[in-house]
Amino acid sequence: MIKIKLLILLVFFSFSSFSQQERRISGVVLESATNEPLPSAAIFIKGTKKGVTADFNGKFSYIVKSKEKIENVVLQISYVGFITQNIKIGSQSFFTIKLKEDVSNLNEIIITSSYGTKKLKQDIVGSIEHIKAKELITEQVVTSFDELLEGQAAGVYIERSAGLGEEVKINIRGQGSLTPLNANSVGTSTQPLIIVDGIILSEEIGIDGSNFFDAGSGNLSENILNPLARIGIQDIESFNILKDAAAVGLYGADAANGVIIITTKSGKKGKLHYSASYQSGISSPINQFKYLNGEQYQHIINTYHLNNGDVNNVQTWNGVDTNWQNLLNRSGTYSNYNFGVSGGTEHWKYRANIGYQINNEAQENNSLKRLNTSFGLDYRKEKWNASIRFSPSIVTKNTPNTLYNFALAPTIAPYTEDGNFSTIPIYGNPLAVANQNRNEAITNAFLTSISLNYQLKDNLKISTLFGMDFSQKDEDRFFSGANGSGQFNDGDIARRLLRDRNTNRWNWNANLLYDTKFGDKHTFDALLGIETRQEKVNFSYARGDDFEIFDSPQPINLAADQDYVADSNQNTGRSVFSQLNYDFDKRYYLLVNFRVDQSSAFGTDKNTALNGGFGAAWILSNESFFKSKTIHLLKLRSSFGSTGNSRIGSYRALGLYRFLFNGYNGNNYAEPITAPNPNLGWEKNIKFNIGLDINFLSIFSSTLEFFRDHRKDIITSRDVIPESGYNQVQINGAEMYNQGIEFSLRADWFKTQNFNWSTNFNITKIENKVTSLSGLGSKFSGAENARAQRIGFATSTIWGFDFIGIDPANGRELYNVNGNTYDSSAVAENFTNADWKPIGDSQPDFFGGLRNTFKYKNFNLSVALSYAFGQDILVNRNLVDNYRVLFNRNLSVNTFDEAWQQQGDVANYPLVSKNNRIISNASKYLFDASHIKLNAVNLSYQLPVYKTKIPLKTLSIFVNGSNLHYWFVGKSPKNKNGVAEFRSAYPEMRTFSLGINTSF
Amino acid sequence: MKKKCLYNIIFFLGLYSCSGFLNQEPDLQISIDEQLSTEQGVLEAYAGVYRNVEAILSGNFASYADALGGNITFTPFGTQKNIIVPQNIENVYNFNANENELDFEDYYEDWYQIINQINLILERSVDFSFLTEKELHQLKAELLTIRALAHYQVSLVFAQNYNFTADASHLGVVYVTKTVIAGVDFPARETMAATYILLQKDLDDALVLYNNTQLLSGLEKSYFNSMAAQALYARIALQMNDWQKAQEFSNTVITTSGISLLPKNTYISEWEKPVDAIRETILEFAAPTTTDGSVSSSIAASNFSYTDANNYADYVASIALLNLYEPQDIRANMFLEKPLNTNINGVLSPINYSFTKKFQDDAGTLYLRLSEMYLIRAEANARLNNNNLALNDLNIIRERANIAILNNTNNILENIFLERRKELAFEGHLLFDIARYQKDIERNSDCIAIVCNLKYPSNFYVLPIPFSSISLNQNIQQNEGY
Repeated sequence: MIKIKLLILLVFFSFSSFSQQERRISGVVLESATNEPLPSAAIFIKGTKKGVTADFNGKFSYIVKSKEKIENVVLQISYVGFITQNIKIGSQSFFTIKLKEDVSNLNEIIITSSYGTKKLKQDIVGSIEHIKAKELITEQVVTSFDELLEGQAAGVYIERSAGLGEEVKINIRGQGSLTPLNANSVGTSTQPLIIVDGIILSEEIGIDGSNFFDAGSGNLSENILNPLARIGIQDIESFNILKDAAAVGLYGADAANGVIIITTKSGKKGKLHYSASYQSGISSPINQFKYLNGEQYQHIINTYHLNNGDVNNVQTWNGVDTNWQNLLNRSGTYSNYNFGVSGGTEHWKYRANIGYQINNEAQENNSLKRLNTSFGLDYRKEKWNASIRFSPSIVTKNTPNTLYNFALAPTIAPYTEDGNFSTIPIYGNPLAVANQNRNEAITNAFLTSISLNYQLKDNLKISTLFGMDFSQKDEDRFFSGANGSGQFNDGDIARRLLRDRNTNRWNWNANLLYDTKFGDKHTFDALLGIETRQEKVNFSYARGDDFEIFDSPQPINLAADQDYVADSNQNTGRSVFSQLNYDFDKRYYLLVNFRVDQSSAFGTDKNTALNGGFGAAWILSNESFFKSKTIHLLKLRSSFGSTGNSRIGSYRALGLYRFLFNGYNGNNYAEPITAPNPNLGWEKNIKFNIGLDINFLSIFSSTLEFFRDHRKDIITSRDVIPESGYNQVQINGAEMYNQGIEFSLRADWFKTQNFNWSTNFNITKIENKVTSLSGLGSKFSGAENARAQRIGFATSTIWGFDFIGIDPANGRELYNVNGNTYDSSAVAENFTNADWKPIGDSQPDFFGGLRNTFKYKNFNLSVALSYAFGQDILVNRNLVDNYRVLFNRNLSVNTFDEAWQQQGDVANYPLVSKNNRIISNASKYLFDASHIKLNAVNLSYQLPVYKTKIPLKTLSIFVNGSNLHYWFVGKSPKNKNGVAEFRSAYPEMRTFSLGINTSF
Repeated sequence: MKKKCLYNIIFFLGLYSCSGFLNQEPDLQISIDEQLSTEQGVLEAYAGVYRNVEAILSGNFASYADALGGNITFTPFGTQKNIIVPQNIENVYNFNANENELDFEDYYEDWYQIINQINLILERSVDFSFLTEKELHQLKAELLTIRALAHYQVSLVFAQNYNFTADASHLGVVYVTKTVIAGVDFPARETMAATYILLQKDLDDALVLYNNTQLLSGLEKSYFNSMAAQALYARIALQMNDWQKAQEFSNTVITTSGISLLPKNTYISEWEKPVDAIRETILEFAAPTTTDGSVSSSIAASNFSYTDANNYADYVASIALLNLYEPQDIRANMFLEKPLNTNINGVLSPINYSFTKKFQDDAGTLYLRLSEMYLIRAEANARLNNNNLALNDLNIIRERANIAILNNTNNILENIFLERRKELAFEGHLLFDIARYQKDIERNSDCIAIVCNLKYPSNFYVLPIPFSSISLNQNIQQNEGY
C-alpha cells in the first residue's frame, strides 16, 4: 500500500518534472532614449503574477518555469511612465530591454497642485496642460523657461522682449487686466502664479504709491529683469499649466491669471551617474532696423530746413556715412556648460547639477551670463518621505551698449583724425559709451524648499512644506566722464548709480491628504491645508554726480553730489484651503475646491476673500454601452468657480503719508500721497470651462476646450477731483471677460523601433470685451465720456485717429474723423482722445504653435514653430516719420523716398517739416504683426557608445538653430523697414550652435 | 511622534492667527492713521504743510503778479540767448491760457493738496492726547490760518476780484473745510462773498486759539503766530474791500507787534543780507534746508538770483518799473545791474539786466512785512475817507525811501497804488492791486507778450479752472471766457 502511494507520487513527480520546462534568464532594463538603467522595473510572465523586479542597475535574473515551451513564454516588462513591452523568450537567455517613455500615457501620474495632490492623467477633472521639459527643445538659446513655452501650450501666450533676460509676459487665457490709460498707472499683476517645487516665486514689481521705486522706465530707473532666469532649464522635469477653476481653485485669490507648477528633476536610484554637456554657437542680429545713410540723411535734413524756412542750416553732405549699427553690432557668441551627478540607494536619492551659460550678444559688449546650480536630496523610508531642494544662481547682465535707444545721425564721424572717439555731447559717442560706461545687473538668488510627508494611516497622510525665494539684485551704472553721457550741463563730470533690490519671500503650508475606496467602485480623496506667506523687498538707491576721477567707477562717497534713497515693501497673507475628489467606477468624477484668503494689501473691512469652484467629468469611453474601436478615450469635463487677484501691491487701501527728509527749517516732514479707499476689495475672476478629450485611431490625442473668464471688480486707477487733494485713487472700477476656444492635438504617426514621428499642434482663439467701467467723476461730467477704455470693446483695442493718406497737393497728413477729412493740425486742435476710434487690437485673433519630432534610428530631429494672427502693434513714431528728431537723430530709411516732395506725389509720409502736428495714435503707425515664427530646429545623433569600449553610457552630438526666422504677413519692402523692423529697435538674435551631450 | 508633529503645526497656526500678521506698514510710506497717532508724526505732517506752502509760493507764482502787472521782464534764455517768455508762465503771461494748457494747473492742485493735509490733521486733532492743550490750540490756529491763506491764494488767481460785481455774487472758489471723499463729494464753487465769509471764519477761529507756542525748531518768524495771522487778515480784508477790518488789523500789527520799519540808512544793506530775513519781516517762509544747514531750493534760485554771467534766473525788473523810481529814491538801488550776453538780430551783445536784491543767494520766501501794513492802513483809511491818516502813513514810506513827502491828499489812492508798486515790487502784489483798483493792465516797451494790455474788466484777469477739476465734476463752473 505504502509502496503504491510512493509509486504514484514518484510517477506524479516525474510526470510533472517531465512536462515542466525551466530556463534561467537574465538581462538589463534600460531607458531607450538615454540607455539609463531603470531600477525596480517589473519583469513578469504575461498573464501570471510570477516574476521579478530589477535591481538598482536595472539588472535581473530569474528562472522561468513553464508547462508550455519556454520559447513561447512571453515576458511583460513594465515601469511607471513607460510603455509596457512584451517579449517572447525565444531562444535567448540574456535580454537587453529598452523601454520607451510613454508621453501620452493615461496612466501617467500628474501633479495637480503644489500641495501634494496627484492624479492619473485620465482622472483629472480640471484643465491642466502637462509638458515634460524634454519634449521641448531644451537646447534652444533662451534665458528662461517661459521662452521655451512660446507657442507650445494651448491658451498660453508668451511675449518676449528683444533684450536678453528682460521681462517676459505670460498671458494664460488672455490679458489679465485692463490696458492702462496712461503708461504709469499701476495695475494688478497680470502674470500667472509660478510655483517651483512648492516655492511661490516673487515678481519684480515696484512699490505701490512710491514715486521713486516704481519700476518705471528711463535712464536712471530700475532695470526690471525676468525672475524666471533663476531656474536652470536643465533642472526642470516638467511644467503643469493650470487653467480652469477646477485646476486653479486651490490657489484661490492668487490664481486669477492661472498657475504654472514646475517640478525639478530628482535623483534616480542606482549607481553614481554623471552627465555633462557642452554647447557653443554664434549669433547674429535679425530684422535690424534700417536707417538713412549719410547722404540720404543730409538730403532729408536739408529738405527739413528748407521747408521750415531755415535756409541758413542747409549744408552740403560732409561725406561721412557712419553706419552706427554695423559699428556696434557684430556676431555674438553663445556657450553653455552643464555638469551633473545623481544616484540613489534604497532610501536616498540625490542629484546635483551645475549649468553655466554665456551669451555675448550681437550688440557689442552686451551680455548675459547665468550660473544655475541645483541640489536635491530625497529620503523615503517606511512612512517617512522628505525632500530638500536648493538652487543658488547668479545672473549677470551687462548692457553698456545703448545705441538702440538713440539712433545718431550718420553724418557724425565715429573717430577723430587721431583715432580717438569723436565727441558727441549729452548722449555720448555710442562707441565710447559701449566701451567706457557700465550698466550691469547682478542677481544672486537662491530658491530652497524643504518638504516632509508622513503616512499617519494607510489612507491619511500629513505633509508640510517650507519654501523660500531669496534674491539680491545689484545694479551698477556708470556714465563715464570721458564721453558725452557723463558730461552734464551743470558742469558735473561722471555719474555713478547703484540700485539694489533684495527680495525675501517665504511660504509655508501644511496639509492632510485622505484617500479611500469603498466598495469596488467608489474612490474618494480629500485635502485640507493651511498656508502663510510673506514677502519683503528692500530697495536702495545711491547716486553720485561729479567725480574727480571721472573715467572709471569710483565709490559714491567720493562724488561731489550724492543722493541716497531707501525704502521697503512688505506684504503678508494666510489661507486655508481644501479639495474633495470623488469618482465612481472611473466613469463619473466630481471635484470641489474651497479657499479662504487674507491679505495685508486690503482694507480691514475687505481683507478676507472666499473662493471656490467645482468640476465634473464623465469618461464616456468607460461606459459599457460605448463600443467604438477607433475611439479609445472620450471624456467630457466642465468646471465653474471663482478666483481672485490679490497681487496688487501692498498698501493700496490705506491712504498713505510719505516721509521725507530735509524740509522746512531742516525738519523731516511728511505729506499724504495716496488717498484712502477702505472699500477697495479683491478682484474676482469667475471661470467657466468645458472640455472634451478624445484619443482616437491609436494615433491622435486631442483636447478641445471652451472657456470664459469673467473678471469683476478690476482694480484701476481713476482720476479724482483735485479739490480732494489727490490726483488718483484706486477703485474696483471695471469688468471684462476673456472667452475663447483652445484646441490641441498630438499625433504619433509612427511608433516603431526605428522610426518615430510625432506632432503637437495647438491653436487658441480669444476674445476680450470690457463690460463695465466706473470712474470717480460726477455722473454727467466730461471725463466719464472721454475715457479711451470703452464698454463693448476689447481692452486690448488700440485707439486713435484714422489716417487716410498724404494730400498729394501739399504733403499734409489727412485723417478721417467722424466721416470728415481733416489735416493733422485741424485734428490736433479740434479733437481729443474722446474722438478716437478703434484702429486695431493688440491681442491676436488666434495663436498657437506646431512641433514635430522625428526619430530615425539614432537621429533625432525636432522643429518648433509658433504663430499669431490678427495682432496689431502701434510702433514708435520716432522711428517712422517724426521729423523733429532729425536735428540729432536718424530716421527710418523709408522716409528717403516715401516722404512727400512735390505736388502730385503720392507719398506715405508727410512733407519733411517741423510743422506737422504730431498725432501719435494714428493708424499709419499701426502694423499687422501677424506672423509665423520658426523658434528652433534641433538635430541630434546618438553615438552607439554602448557597443564600444568607451567608458560612456551615452554620447550624442547635436546642431541647433534658435530664433531662426519670422514670416510676417506684411512683408518688408526690399532694403526698407516693415513691421519686422519697426517692431523693435533692439534687434533680436538668431543663434546657430553645436553641442555634445554625454553621461557616464 | 505623530502627536508631536501635529502639535507643532497647531502651534505654528496659532502664532499667525493672533499677531498683527496682516497689518503691514511701509517704511517711507505710512498709513494716515499711523502717521497721525504720535506727536512726532503729527509734527512731521505739520512741517509738511509749511514745506508745501513754501514750495508753491517760491515756484512760478513768485513772478506771476509782477510779470502780468508789468514789473518783470526776462533774461536771455538757453544757448541762443534769446529773450523769450519762460515756459512755466508762458500762457498766463500771454493771456492765452486755457483749461487744457494751463501753467498754473499745479498751483491750483497743490493748494488743495495742502488744504487736504490740513483737514486730515484737524479732523484727527481731538485724539491728539499727546499734545498739551496749548500746543494743540497753537497747532489748530496755525492750520486754520494756513487754510485761509490757501483758499485766499487760489481766489487771487482763479476768481475775479471781490468788487468785480457790486455784491460779490460772482464765482469764488471751492472752500474745503473737511476732507473730500473721492467719488462721493462733488463740491461747487462758492460766491466771492461767501468765500470771504469762510475766510473770515477760519481766521477768526484761529485768532482765538493762538497762544504763540512754537511747535517746531526754526526761526520764530517762519511760523504763524497771532501777529502774522492778523497781518494776513489785514491783507485779505483789504483785497476783499473790507476796509474797516483791513484798517483795524494793520493798525494792530503796526502798533503792537514790536516790529519797526527798516530805517533809511540800513534799508539796502538789510535786503542784501544773503540769508537772514530783513528786520521788519512779519512772516517769511523758510527755504528747505538739508541736515548740514545748506539750502536745497529757494525762491531766489528758482526765479530771481544772479550767480554769474552763465548762471542766472529768469526774472528781472522791467524798464517800466525802473523808470518809476526817482533818482534819489534809495529803492532805485535795490537792483543788481549785470550785463548778460543777449541775442540781438543774431549777434550776441552784453546788455544790462536788473536783478532784484530782495531775493538773492539763499533768501527765504518773504510773505508779510511791516511796510505793507503801513500801505494797507493807508489805503484802508483813504477808502474810509480818513485821508489825512492815509497821507501820514504814505509819507512814512516815502520819507524812508528818501523821496519828497506829499503835502496834500489829492489823488491819495492813486499815490498809494504807485507807492505799493514801488515798495512791494517783486513781492507778488501788482496784478492783484490792479484788479482791486479796477485798473487796466498796461505793459510797456519791454513787454514781449502776444497781448500786452487788457482793459478792465476782462475775463483774462483770472485763469481758467483746470481741466482736471472741470472734467470730473459737473458742479464746477468754469470762469467766463474759458
